[in-house]
Amino acid sequence: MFSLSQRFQTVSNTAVTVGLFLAAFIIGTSWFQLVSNHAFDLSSSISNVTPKINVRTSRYYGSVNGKAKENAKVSFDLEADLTKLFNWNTKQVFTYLTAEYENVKHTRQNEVTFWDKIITSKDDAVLNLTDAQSKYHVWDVQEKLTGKDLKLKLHWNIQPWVGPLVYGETDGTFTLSIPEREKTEKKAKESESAESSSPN
Amino acid sequence: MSDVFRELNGKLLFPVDYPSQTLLAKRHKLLVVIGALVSGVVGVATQSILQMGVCYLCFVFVALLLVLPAWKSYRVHNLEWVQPQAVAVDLK
Repeated sequence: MFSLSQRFQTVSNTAVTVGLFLAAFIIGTSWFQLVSNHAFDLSSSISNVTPKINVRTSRYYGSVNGKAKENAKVSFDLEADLTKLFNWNTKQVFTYLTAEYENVKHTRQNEVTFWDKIITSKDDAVLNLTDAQSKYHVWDVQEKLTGKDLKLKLHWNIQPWVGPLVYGETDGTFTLSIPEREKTEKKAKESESAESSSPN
Repeated sequence: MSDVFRELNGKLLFPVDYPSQTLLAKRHKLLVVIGALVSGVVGVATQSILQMGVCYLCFVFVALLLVLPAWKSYRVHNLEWVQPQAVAVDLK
């Protein structure tokens, strides 16, 4: 503390050290607020999910060497209230609709994202979507996505001003069974042929 | 270049006496810690990190203002160096 530079170093050092404790305090209080607001038990309602399957041969849609690759999109209704995720340490909330399904060997859960949204304000945190279209084309590593049971879930991710990202998911899932394309095509052909053969 | 810095450093020394150094070490710590506590309360009350940061920086600024300059009251107990004395030496 003898000279000017020593005094400046000492004060700035103390300010930074105490500032770190202040940052820890912010993280702690925001976590406490999340827990006391039951933010980890938020509910959501996913309904009216309609799949749409396209077969693509472009490599931009997952095709390899021109082999046909099934691409899935969905339309859905979604209701969720994410206002409880906003506290003084929330910069923005990233929310995303995912689908989980088992791989062919039934050894692992795959997860794909159909839709997402960045919410920057508490006023926009109430989601009420009707017949919303998924943002992304989804395909599996395998050739087909049909014939699988997709479990749709809404996840959220808080991006705070200070501290680590906080991840969570809402209660409320929707199980979507995508029928095999061959069966649906066969059925469609059968119904077409039945219509054409029937006397007018 | 280093000579220039050395000279500048010598001019910007602004020393304070020993008792004041002890006092300043205690005083700046107290101010910064109280600042952190107050700004924490302000932040939670207003639910704003910006308000909290501004409040904390204000306290740090006051601490700097109080500690950095060599105010007159910090230079009361200056060291008194022993003066050289002429001594008669017998060279025989």
